[in-house]
Amino acid sequence: MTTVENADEDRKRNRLDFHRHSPEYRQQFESITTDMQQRCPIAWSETYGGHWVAAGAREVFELARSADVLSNDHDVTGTGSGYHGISIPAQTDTPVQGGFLEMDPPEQRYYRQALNPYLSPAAVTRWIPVIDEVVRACLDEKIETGHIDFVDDLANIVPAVFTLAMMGIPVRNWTIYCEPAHASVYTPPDSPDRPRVRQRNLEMRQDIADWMSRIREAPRPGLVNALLHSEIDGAIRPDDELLGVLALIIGGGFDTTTALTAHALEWLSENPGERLRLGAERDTLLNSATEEFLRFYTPAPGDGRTFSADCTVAGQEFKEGERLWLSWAMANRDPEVFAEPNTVDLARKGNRHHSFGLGIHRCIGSNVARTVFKRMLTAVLDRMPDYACDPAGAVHYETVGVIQGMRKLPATFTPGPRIGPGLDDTLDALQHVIDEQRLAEPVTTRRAGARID
Amino acid sequence: MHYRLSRHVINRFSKPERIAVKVRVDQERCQGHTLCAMIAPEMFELDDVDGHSTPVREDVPPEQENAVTEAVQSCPERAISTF
Repeated sequence: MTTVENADEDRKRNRLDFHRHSPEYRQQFESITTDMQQRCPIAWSETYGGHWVAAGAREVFELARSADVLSNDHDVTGTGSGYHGISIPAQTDTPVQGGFLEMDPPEQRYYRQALNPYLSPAAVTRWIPVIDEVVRACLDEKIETGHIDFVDDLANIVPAVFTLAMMGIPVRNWTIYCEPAHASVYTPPDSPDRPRVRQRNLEMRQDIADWMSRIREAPRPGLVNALLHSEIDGAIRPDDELLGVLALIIGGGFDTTTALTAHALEWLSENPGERLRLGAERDTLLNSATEEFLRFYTPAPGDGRTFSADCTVAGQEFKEGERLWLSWAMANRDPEVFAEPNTVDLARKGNRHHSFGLGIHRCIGSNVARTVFKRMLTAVLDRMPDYACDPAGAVHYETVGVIQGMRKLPATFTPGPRIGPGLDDTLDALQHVIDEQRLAEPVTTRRAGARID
Repeated sequence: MHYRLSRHVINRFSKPERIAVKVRVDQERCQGHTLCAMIAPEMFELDDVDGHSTPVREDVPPEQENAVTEAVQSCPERAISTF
């Protein structure tokens, strides 16, 4: 063995056979996490082409904030860095850039600056009456029956409708977007259903492209319009790149909030005493409970990176070109930062969780996610306070390599009265409000909240 | 150093009022997670455009000290400090 090989062996002496995409990883998540944190908070794994895995909170913190030596770049044309973005293993079939999450500064920063005024806390707060109307209509569709699937009938719909509303795409189109946005995450590559999901995904992308053309011809406020007018160094960006950004907004806006809401509702069904407490003490508990569900269920369990320079971070030596998996989910269970990390504590203090990522790539939709989650959760607690989920009907994603999500969460409850029109009529009425009040303008242009009579 | 120590001694023994805790948000570190404003809404305000946080004022009133301490301990980027 040469000296170089010896040094490499030494650098990678903390080893792990890490299979994030296997069902076993989901089933054994707590024991694998505990083992890594005790034995190897940073480890080398030969899986997925060879990559580093960071699981300790301190290590993840230091690495995630080292944007000077870590790259998110996804070089889809093969003309630049040659890096593979945030997916581990790298995408093999026709790679598509995942918007600004697969860019480095300065381009990444330009995009965020263009979109921030649509997604800031002040911007999202303006939409609460609209979000509440969509939630109300979803619950009204089921309230008289005593049966609901919290995924299909609520948590899939509200994030999809609201994301399209912010984009400036008609909200009734949510049906084109909803299924492929979720199914492309949970359908394994070898599934017989994969060709159908791919076809639905193509239809979705075609609808985005169509709306880009229409909004270019006849501008309507929203994220699409913002992107069409965004410039970097005085130049308009190519359509392919903008499509990637819009796909990122959809990917980030749909499946993650659904995943958080479903898991929280499932946990509250299993812990009815805590559900009563949250319902009664929501003024003081809702914020901390939301952060705790985010920590515990970490909907987006991690991100890939590529080292852009030889470096030593958190005591570990890395080489340029090596890949790294930053596990937000495992860092969220580090007992050094979170007391009793595997217990849900709705009143947890000092909950500096990693669920929206850390550093310059912090989830740009975090304020959307929190707001939509809270409006859905509190509406269910108010209108279906005795709901009980059916464990036999609940379907979790088989793997949590990309999103820790749920496909089904059926529940029963004591039926109640409808209080307004159904979903389709409500969406038509809301579209009128959105267009007339120009709600999808950035907060820098329109500060007032939505008014719904 | 000598003078500062003297001042502290004077403050401690001749002035009954306490020295106010001060709070700072490192703008290079803040990424707009907004937890501080959730925990201590009277002490931190968020930028309308990007949600980044700044203290409403540097001096922390005694009744806000606990909330500010929790905000410090909750910031994912460790951007908030008291001094």
